[in-house]
Amino acid sequence: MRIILDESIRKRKGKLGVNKIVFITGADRGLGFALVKDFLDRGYSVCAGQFMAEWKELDALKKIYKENLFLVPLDVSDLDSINQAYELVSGKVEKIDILINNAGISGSAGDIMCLENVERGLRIFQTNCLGPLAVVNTFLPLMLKEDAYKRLCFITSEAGSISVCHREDGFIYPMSKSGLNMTVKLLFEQLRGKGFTFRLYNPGWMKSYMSGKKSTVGKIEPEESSKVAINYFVNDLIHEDVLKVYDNNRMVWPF
Amino acid sequence: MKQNVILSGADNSYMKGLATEFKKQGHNIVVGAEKADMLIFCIDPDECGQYDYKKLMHNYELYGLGLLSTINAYLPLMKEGGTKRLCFITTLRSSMNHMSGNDHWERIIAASCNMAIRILFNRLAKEGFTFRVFGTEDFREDSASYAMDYFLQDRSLEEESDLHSDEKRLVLRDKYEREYAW
Repeated sequence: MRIILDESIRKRKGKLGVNKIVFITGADRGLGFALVKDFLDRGYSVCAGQFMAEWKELDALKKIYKENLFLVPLDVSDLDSINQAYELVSGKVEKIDILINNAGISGSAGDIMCLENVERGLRIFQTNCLGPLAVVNTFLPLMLKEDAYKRLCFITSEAGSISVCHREDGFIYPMSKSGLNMTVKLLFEQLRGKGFTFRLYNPGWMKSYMSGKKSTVGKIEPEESSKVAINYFVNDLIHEDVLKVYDNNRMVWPF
Repeated sequence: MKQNVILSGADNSYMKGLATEFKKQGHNIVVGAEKADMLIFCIDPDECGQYDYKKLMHNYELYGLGLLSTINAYLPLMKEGGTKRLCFITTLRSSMNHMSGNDHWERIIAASCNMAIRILFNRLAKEGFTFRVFGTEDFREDSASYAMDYFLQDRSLEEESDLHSDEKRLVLRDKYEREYAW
């Protein structure tokens, strides 16, 4: 069964809109969920990686958007889960135009004088850094289709910027995001010659669910950051041969 | 001044060369001492491809998390020492700004380690620790003397001109002491 687009959506014109298929990881809530909604509102078909079956917001969205939203169980830290998701998605769609690696978790190893939970760093690294790499590696065949748009998007963080890092503790989350930035650089070097374009987005200090429950601190809501992100993800840049990190204020962050 | 030096991280020929160079200069390579002046951690993960997820994880545990555990373990000894210098040897390929090519995916580990070093610098420089990060092209044993030279030297810190001193920021330098952006 293929994703069927609503006829009214088919008739819309847009730079990257009609008949384009987006795959978003970590889509249950926060920024991922906001992106799912925004892409659906713009007429895209969305494959949404669902990590938490018990979290019902995606299911509610499915009732509204029906065939244009395809929910896929996905834990990006688990290779089997990624492979199963690929089987499901490739049975549903013929290509993916935009892949958004959004899934991520946070955590801290505390102060260097009294480290704690260092072993949690493995799980964070696997999810935030190797997860996106494995998702790209696995889903590449669907993005290499001749008529696919070939855009790879990644959610990074100010925490990944070594040059301007201000943190004095925590370690394991920033380390995972620096690792992600290097991963994206390597993929960029490898794939841009094959027609891929890249987006590396720092969503700003959001009131996110990264720690497991919604944060009460932060400067913006995920929905606000999503509005900036979607424009960054779908529009073309003057220079696609340079990889930069843009934030929600459209400012560039150094690596 | 003779230094008591701890060598940690990768147990490779580069570190053996470094130990030889330090000893030649009359410094002590110490194990289980009560105090140490200088700690050198070598980040040299195994070569990895882009599908070597398990190997990447293993090397992250060894070098990324291992770096943290090592510094944590030795900090009490370093506090007792005089020089309080934390030194790191890594690959020049760890620089995201200077990178090219799509091989050596173990660079992911090295970049993560650079972030760990940055956070350590932010935390410990104000407590009197100084930092040196030496980038090597190839981990050739015969270039270890350049790393030693860089680790032992003091950088200008005159009050009138110290605004941008190396001692006040974290810098990655190669054997010619060229600075590499992170």
